Amino acid sequence: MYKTSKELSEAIESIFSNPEEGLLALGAINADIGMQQEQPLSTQIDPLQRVSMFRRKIEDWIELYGLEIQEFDSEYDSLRISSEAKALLLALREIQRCFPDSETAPRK
Amino acid sequence: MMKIKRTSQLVARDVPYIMHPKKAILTLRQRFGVSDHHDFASSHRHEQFKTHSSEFPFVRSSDIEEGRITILQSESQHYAVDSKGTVRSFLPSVLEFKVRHLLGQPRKENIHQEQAYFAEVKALLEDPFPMPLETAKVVEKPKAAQTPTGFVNQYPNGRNASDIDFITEPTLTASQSAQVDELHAWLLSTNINGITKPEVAEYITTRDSLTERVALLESGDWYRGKVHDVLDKKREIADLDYEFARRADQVGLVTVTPILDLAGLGIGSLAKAGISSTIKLGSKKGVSIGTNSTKGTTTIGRESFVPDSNVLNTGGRVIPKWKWGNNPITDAQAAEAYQAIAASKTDVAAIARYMNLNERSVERLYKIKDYLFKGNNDIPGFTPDPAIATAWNRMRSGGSDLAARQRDMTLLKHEVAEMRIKQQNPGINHTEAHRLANERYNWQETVPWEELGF
Repeated sequence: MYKTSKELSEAIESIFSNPEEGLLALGAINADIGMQQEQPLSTQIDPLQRVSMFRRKIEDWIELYGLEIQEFDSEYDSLRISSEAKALLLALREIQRCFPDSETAPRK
Repeated sequence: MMKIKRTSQLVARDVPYIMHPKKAILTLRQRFGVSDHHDFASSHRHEQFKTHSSEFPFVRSSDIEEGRITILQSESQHYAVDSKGTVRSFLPSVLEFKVRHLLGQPRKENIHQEQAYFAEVKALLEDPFPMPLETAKVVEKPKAAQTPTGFVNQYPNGRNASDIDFITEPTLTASQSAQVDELHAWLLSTNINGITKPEVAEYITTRDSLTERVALLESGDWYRGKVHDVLDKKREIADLDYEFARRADQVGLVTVTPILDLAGLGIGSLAKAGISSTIKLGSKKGVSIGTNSTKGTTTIGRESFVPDSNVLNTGGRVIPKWKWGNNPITDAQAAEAYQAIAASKTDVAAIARYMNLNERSVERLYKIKDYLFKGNNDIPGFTPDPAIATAWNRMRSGGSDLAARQRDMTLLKHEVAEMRIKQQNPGINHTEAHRLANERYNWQETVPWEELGF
């Protein structure tokens, strides 16, 4: 479960009309969804390899957004998808900056 | 499982799990035993429980009675059976012994109370639908080559969203097939206003082979990179279309008169003959080629019909898009919303992304989707329900607060329970299965009135 600082919590509260929406996305609160979820990666795996896996997953998600946007036809969804994708692209940029020696893990 | 918390730190989601003070003291007494403690300041004697927890090593009965400390208790479950039918347990108990005995799995290993182990077991315990205990004979399921989690939809039963065909193609008799062949040949031999026969032939042949390749890729097994390959082929098709449209635009408007009337056949036959019945070309240039199902004419050149912006045109297939944003769906929109959901190839992957679901949950989600929106095997699809369409779209677009997510999960649990009841009781009617599922997961009661659809 993600531990939020006071500042992060306050930021989430100011961004979302209902902060629970942001906290759920972050994984900072548990919704008790009754379905099995992805578990944390083992700390035994090399950190750089974990970064590579992270990059792979985020790139896959961006590709998924690319397909999703074709299935929607509303301004709301277009804005939602492009905003979410942009946030992920920024995260990728920062990952590249922090781990310049990392590469995206190849598709299995 | 029990959790000790300061009352001042309670949050709304704790409320269902708060134990009555008397029951809390009784539970602590049974679990940790009693040790009397004399409070010299107040000359009051308390029961004190040594809990061994780091945050609350000692808990006094007066703390509970006077509301300083609260005991939370989630539902306890002493055993779980995972998807392979293996008994997993977190504490030795008589019940666990009985379950192991029933399944013929005597306890061999020592359980270490490690955090990782508990996380795994906790996930199993949270599973509201563990395998039934009767399934002692376990058939190992072949493992999927790749995980679909976090990526595009993959249907575990081998089916694909592209299987949904909104154009019904008739079964042709031998003479009709011959007519279609003749029609195909006639179309290829026609010199269309400046575009030469070989050009038309090459365009149709190349496009059909590419379309066939895309269909093969889409219906084949999932692999990482599949989406990339499909998009690559679709891009090739788009380039081909654009180039042909450019040529057609140069030669101007031409309407090839009623070829369908000539053959006396419908739009489906044309598609069956290998000729794409709806091919949208170069919309920026306002050109198109295709058949008009109403007029029965084929047009090459400037648009002869206005394409519906709410459908995704995929050459022969018309897939509706979701056009209602995050607004609740009305009764009138429900059927179209169901079509859009059924045709979606990304929704399950998107739900998995927002809810952090693992592979097993994703597979379950596919089954729920098939059951709700497409019908599954002998079970027909249901009458479109606007509240269900609204809930599904909320899940796939990640727009849930805590209450909405729990409500949506109740819907999923209800459907799983209903499916299971039908599986275990062949011949049971839907109303009865629905009533039984409602006894445990009553989703209808949780739906807010504005989502009921009017």
